[in-house]
Amino acid sequence: MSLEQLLQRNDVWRGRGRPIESSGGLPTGFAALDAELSGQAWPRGALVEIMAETSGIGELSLLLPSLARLSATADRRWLAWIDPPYIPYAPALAAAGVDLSRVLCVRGRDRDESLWALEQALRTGTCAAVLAWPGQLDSAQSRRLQLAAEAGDGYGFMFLPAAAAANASIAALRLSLQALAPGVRGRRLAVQLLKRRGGWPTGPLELELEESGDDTAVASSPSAGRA
Amino acid sequence: MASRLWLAVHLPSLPLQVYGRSAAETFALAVSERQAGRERIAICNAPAAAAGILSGMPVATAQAILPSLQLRARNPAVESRSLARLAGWCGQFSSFVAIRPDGLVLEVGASLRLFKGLDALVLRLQEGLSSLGFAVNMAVAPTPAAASALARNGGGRVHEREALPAAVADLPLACLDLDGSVAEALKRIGIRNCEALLRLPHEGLARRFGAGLPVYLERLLGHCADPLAPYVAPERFAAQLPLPAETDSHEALLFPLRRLLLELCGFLRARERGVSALEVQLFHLREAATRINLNLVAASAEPEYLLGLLRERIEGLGLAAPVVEVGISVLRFQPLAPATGDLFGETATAEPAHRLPERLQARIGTQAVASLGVQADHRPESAWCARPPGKASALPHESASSRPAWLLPRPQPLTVAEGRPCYHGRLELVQGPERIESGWWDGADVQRDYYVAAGPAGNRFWVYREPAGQWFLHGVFA
Repeated sequence: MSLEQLLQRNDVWRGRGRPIESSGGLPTGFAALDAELSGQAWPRGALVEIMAETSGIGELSLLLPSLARLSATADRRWLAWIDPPYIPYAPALAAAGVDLSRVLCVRGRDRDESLWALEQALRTGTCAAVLAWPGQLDSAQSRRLQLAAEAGDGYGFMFLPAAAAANASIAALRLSLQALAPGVRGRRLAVQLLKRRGGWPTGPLELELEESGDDTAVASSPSAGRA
Repeated sequence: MASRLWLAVHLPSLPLQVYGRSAAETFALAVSERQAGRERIAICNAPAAAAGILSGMPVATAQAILPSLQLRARNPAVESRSLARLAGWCGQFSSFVAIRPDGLVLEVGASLRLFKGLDALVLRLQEGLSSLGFAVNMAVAPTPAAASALARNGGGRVHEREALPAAVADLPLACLDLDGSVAEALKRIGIRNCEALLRLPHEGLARRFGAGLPVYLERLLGHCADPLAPYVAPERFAAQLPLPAETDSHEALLFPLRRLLLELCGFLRARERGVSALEVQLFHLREAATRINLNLVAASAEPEYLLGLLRERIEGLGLAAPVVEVGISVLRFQPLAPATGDLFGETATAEPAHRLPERLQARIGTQAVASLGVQADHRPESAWCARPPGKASALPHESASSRPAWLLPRPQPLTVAEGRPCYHGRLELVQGPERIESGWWDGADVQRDYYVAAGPAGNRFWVYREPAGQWFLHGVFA
C-alpha cells in the first residue's frame, strides 16, 4: 500500500493537513473561517460553542449569514432561539435575511424548563438551527445536549460565557471571539478555534462583519440641553 | 347499487358503562333504579357479581353483602347522550347511523369495500368500541330490525333475505321490539319464540294487538321497507365522563381523558376534520371547574399525540380539589390536511415540524413560545411583535439604517461622564443622530435621537438621547 493510498483513507487523521472533504453542509459565510473547518461548513448534528469576551462584539452577526442561507432553502424547519438574553429585534433579523415566520423564540420559566426545551429542539429534528444561551453547563448536561444534537442532525449553536473557554467540552467546534479595531467595511472579529474536527486548535482568524446602513459619522457633537 | 347490509350494535350494560368506563374495572360497581316501589340493583359489573350481587336485589341487601360497593342511580339522560356520542363516533365506519333505545344500527353494505370485507370491519369496530370502554354484541342482517333482534340475542350473521326466517326462528320474544303488554299477552297465549309468532295470521294479530305488530314483522323479514331516521351529529363536540371515585392523582385522570380523546378522534375522522383548539374541564365537587386550553399550530386528529400534550400540561398542574368528572369540548375544528411527502426532501424528519412548538407550549405555556413579526411603527419597541408560531407577519420589511440584533425590553438609563454616556466604560458615538419622533396618536409619543455607540471593549450599542438630555441604552449590536 503506497503512501498515497494510505492518505486517501478516511480513517487516517492528518494533524495539520487539509480537513476531510464532505458534501452538502452549511457554509459559515466567511471564507477565512470556512477554510479552517472540516467540510468547509458548520458541523452538522453536533454542538458549536461560541464564547465571546463581552456581548455586542458581533457574535450573533457571525451566524446571521448562515441563518439567512437556511431561511432561503425550502426547508420548513424552525430556527429556534432558546432563552435569548434580550429581545431578538425583528426588523434587524429581517434585514439580515432571516425568515421571521420560522423563528421560534422560547423562554422557559426556569432553567430546567429552558434546558428541557433546548433538548427537545435539538433532539426532534424539527429545527434547522438552534441558538441557545444556556449559561454554565456541567459535563452531564453538555453530554446530554450533544447526544440530542446527534439524534436531531441539525445545527446547534451554544453561546456560553467567556469563562467557559477554560473548561474541557465535548462540543465539535469551539470558537472564542474578541473584538478588533473596526475596519473599512465594518467591525472586525478575532476568532480563535479552540477545538475543531480534523485539526489542531488554530487562530486567531480575522473576520470582517459586513454592516448595512450608512456610514455617516456623527453629524454634530451633542451638547447637554440641546433644543 | 350495493345491497344494503345492516350491522346492529347492542350495549347490554349501557347504564353501567356510562359510569364504569372512566377507570379500569377493578372495583365493584352497580347501577340502581326504582323497580316495584323499591330501589333495586339493575345491573352490576363482574367484580360485584363475583361478590354475590344479583340483579333485582334490593339496594339495602346489596350494600349489606358488599359494603365497598359503588352505587350509582340510573340516568337515562346520560345514557342517551352517550349513545348519541357513540353514533357520532361510528360515523367513521358508515354514512348512515341510527339510534335505537339500547344500541345503534349502521348501514355497512356501502362501506364493505373501503374496509376490505365484513370481517375486517367488524374487527375494527369491536376493537374501537372496546378501547372506548364499551362491551357490545354485534349482529349483521339484511334488515335493521332483524339485525337489532339478533344482536340482543348475542350476535349472528345473516347475509341473504331468504335466510332470515330460519335465522330469527329461535329468537326469544324479549329480543324483539315489542311493547311490554304485547309481550305479556303473547306469552299468555303460549307464544314463546319468534317462529311461533310468525306463523300466526296477520289479520288476527292486527285485530288483537294493533296494526303496529304485523308491520313490524313485515319489516323484520324484509317484506316491506323500514325507514329509519339517520343520526346527524351536531357540528360541535362536548363530552363528559364521570369518574367512579373522586381522585387527585394525575395518572388516574389520563385514563378517562384517553377514552374521551378516542371518542373525539372517531368523531373527527367521520367528518374528516382535525381539532386545533380544545378545552379540557376537570370538574370538582364544590369549586369551579379547572379548565385547560390546548392550542395546536396545525389541526390534528391523533389521539395518542393529543394525550401526550395533555399529559405534559396536566403533570405541571396543581389541582385545587379532587376531580369528580372530566370533560372535553372542541373550540375549533379545521379541515384536516392530508400528509404529503416531499419529493425532493433531503431530510426525513421524525415528526412534523409543527409538533415542536405544540409540545413546548403544552409544558411551558402558550406565551413562552412565539415567532416574530415586523410592524409599521417608527418606535423601535413597537416595530416588532410576537406572533403565533409559524405565522408570518404580513408587512414587508423596509430596510432602514442599521438596527441592532438585540433590543432591550425597557430602555436602560445611562450615566453621563464628561458629556458622554457610560455603560461599563465611556461610550464613543460612531454613527448618528437618527431622529425618531412618533407616536403622538396613542399617547406614547417619543422624541429620540439615536446613535450607534462603541464601548471600550469593542462592543457596539444602540443608545438614544431624549430632549431633556437623558441618555438611554436601547439595543446591542450583537
